[in-house]
Amino acid sequence: MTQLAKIVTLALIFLILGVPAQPNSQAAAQNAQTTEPFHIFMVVWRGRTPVEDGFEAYLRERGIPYRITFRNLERDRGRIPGFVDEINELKPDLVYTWGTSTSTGILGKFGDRDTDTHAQDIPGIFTLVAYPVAAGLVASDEQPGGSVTGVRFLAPVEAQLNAIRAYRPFERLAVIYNPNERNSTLNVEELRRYAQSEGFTLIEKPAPMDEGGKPIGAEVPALVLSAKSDGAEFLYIGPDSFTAVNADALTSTAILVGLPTFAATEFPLLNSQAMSGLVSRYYSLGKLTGRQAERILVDGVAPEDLPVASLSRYSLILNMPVVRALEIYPPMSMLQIADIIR
Amino acid sequence: MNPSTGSPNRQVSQQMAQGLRWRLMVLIIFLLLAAQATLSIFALRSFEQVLAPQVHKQAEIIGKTVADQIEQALDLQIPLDRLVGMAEFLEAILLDNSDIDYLAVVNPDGQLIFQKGLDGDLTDNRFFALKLDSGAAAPVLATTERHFDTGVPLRLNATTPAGNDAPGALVGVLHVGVAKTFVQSELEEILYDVLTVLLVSMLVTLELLLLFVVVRISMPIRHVTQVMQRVTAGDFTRRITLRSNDEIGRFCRAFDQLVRRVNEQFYELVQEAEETKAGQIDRTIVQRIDNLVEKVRSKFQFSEPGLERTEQSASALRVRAPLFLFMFSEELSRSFLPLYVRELYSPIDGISVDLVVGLPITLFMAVVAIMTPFAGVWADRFGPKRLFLLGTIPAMIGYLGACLAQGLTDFLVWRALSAVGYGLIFIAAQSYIGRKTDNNNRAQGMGTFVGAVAAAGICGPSIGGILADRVGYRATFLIAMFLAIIAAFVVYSMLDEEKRNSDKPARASFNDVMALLSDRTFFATTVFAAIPTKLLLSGFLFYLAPLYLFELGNSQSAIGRIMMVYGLVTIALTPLISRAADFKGRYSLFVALGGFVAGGGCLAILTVEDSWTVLAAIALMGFGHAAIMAPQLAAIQQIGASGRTGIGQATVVSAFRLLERLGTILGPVVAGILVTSLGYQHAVAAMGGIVLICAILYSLSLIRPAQPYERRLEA
Repeated sequence: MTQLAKIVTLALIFLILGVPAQPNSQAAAQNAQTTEPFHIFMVVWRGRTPVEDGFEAYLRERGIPYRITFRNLERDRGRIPGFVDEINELKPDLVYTWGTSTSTGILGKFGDRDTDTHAQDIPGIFTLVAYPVAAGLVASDEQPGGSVTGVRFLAPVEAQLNAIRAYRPFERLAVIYNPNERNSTLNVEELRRYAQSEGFTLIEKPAPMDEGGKPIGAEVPALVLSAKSDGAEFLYIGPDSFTAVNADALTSTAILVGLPTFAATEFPLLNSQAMSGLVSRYYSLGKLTGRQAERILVDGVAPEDLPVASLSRYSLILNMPVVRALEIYPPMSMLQIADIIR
Repeated sequence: MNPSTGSPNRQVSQQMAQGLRWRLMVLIIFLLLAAQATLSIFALRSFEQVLAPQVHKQAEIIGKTVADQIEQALDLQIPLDRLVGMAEFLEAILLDNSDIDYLAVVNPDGQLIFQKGLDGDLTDNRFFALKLDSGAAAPVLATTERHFDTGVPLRLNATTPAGNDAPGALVGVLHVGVAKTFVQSELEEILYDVLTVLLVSMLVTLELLLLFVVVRISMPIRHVTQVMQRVTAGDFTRRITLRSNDEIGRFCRAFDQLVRRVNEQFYELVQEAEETKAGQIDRTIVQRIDNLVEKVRSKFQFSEPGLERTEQSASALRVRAPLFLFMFSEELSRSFLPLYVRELYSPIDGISVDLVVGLPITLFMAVVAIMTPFAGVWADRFGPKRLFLLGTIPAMIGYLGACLAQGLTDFLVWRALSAVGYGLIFIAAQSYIGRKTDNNNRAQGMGTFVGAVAAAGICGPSIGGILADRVGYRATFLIAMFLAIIAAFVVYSMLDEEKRNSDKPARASFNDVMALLSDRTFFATTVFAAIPTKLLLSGFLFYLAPLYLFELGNSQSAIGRIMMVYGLVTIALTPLISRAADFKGRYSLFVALGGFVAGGGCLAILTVEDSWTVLAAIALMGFGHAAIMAPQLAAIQQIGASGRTGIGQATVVSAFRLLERLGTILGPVVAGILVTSLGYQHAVAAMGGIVLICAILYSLSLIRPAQPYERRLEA
């Protein structure tokens, strides 16, 4: 009866309003014929990813007119000043940046943005940033405070640890990371706190540096071996560009020594051989970033008042070929809720 | 009314009518019982045959779901014996399906790999015997010593290329076990339901039969008797006027014909006498004729032929069937009302859920109490028939609203409306009986009233519980509405329209109540016996019992059945106890005893936390209340009769009834407060404690003042 009452009420509401769904997108579509498309300046770190696909798909679905100027840093911070100049010259409606390094380089840090080097009065929107406050992009997640807001992507560390434990209880967890990356150090700090409060041992394996202060990728297999010999039961792959670049070496060594891996980002699961992970799907993140862009461009919300967004649901991913190679099988309960790579 | 009331003739005819009524009832009940019992046995037997396959089917459905999930893991090329977390996985399914006793996964050789719920020696080879053919496609059913076992094959998905096994190969078997005792307990449930329906249909049949016998047989016979008595006394002015077209109707018409014939004859005689007179010159002969006619006139009373008056006769029993039907409709929700309220409940700041759940009962009782004086006035103004019909309108709207209720707030409104109807109908029925009876048979008339209410108290909760289990709470309210409509229809077609009643019914004023409360016996009986009785009834039976029994895992049918026991015990014991109390003449002794039994029964709930204990407490409460109710009224009537308070008996009773309702209203409130801090079991015990303390206080009050009072009576 309640169900019936609800249906009747809904039907009445539709009758009264006379319009079924999505009045916004129609309004936006009308907008398309009358105004110029929004100009979005997009800067990425290492080429196009599903995040950008999701972003554009969202704008198209909502009927928001846009054109994109696409720039790729190709992992080279040296290119940043050139792109900043280009932004100041072209005066786009919105700047889109991918990842922590790109975002801090292009958009600058909160309270430290000067006119000469950074795109100042143009709204900026970052995506795929793990710790936007710690990275200095915004004052706080709720009140960004400046001309920049965006989307953060890391699942809460506590939830990640619970997911690892649900797969298989552990006492020694290893993490390989680049101590020069702010993301990673923040992530490792958080892990340390939980190691203390939850009573497990965190085996830290920071990457060794060359003379130029750059992490040495060739050392990654040795780091995995050393983690294994220290008694690690699980290897954690954080939001770290260094491990992303060296994901193949890292995960294949782990399989070789029989060490299960858990990733905080989608990349090593989809592009390499990480075994499991609790992640934000890149495509979903892109759509959420598109929503943030809509709020600024169409709804006219000021970035300083637009809270940094995050997905409300994360995906548990199981990479079955790796599971089979390791012969460490997930429990039945996990198989039923996981996204499975066959 | 009738000049010959109480004459030997009348008594004989009444005895005859009653004898006939009882013989007919016993015969019909016996036949009905035999027929229904036979039918029930056949139904149960065929049900048993259907139930076992149904259980297998259910096990098969669950087994296939579980097998699907296991096969998904197998399709990911996880070997069957390497599956992780199977114990937890199987346990979760057992938790959701209480009918399943065990789940076990065996390899194709019948060796156990995973299990949950199996007991005894796990190394035995119990599943060897149940090995499936490697080609078995569908689940296979088997029977073991204590279980029905359903074996579901586990196969690799044909589309997935598997390591060593060919696609579609049998890699294991999932066994789903249902205990044979589960099937038996299901059958027992059904058996109880069938027995309940049997009992209730008996009661309903009795009610309807009583109505039929009274209206079609007893009443006309009493009618004929009355008219015959008049004829015996020489009065030919009355006729029976019964239009029914059966033997009795024809008999009555023949009798009317007879009376008419006599009147015609007399008329002809007078005519003839007049003609004869006109032909006579001799004045003495004229005088003699006149004298003769006059003599006949003085000995007999005649009427103009065809203008005989219809003998007025009434029966209070006519109101019994519609009253029963209406009370039945109200009692339908008795066994689930608090549970329904809990479903509708959404948090209200500062009030605990337990208090809120009792709110509709309290409101209902309060509205009934408020309606009572108004209803009395309206009964005088409109007559009982119209008041009864008027009452069914808010009652029906209330039921419909309760069926469609969106939340607690509107539910309260609907219940209040039903309460208005209940109050009106309650008084309408009482007033109808009051008008149709005189002092000689008023007690019998009120017995009619109490009987109908008690029968409804047995039928309502039990049938309501069965209905709630099968069609849900909301639909049961809809059924209640239809019952109320039928009651209205019966009232419309069967009750007589009554004119205004001139005698004012007694009503207690505030001053009367105060004066009465200063009387020691009245105070003790009201405060220590009547109010605790009603408090326990509404607090424990109406409010706590359904919730507590639900918490103990009972189905709605079982809750209704257990609550029905109260009605059964009271209906069985009340006449016995009334007779005993009348015989002993010590009413107060029974009132005290009742308090101890009811209170003690509720305290006994602390012993074991199960449904049988609750059942025992309800039965003891019924016993206690049966011991209290009639004797306490007699004690109160004695106060009025003694005249020592200077207040009339009817007013004393009315003040007593008013105060008594206080207990009914407070019951759910007290129970709600207790349950918030104590939980169900201890709340029931605490209420039992209250009743027990009141019983002790009542007993103490008997010690002193009883002496001078009785001496005064003797003097």
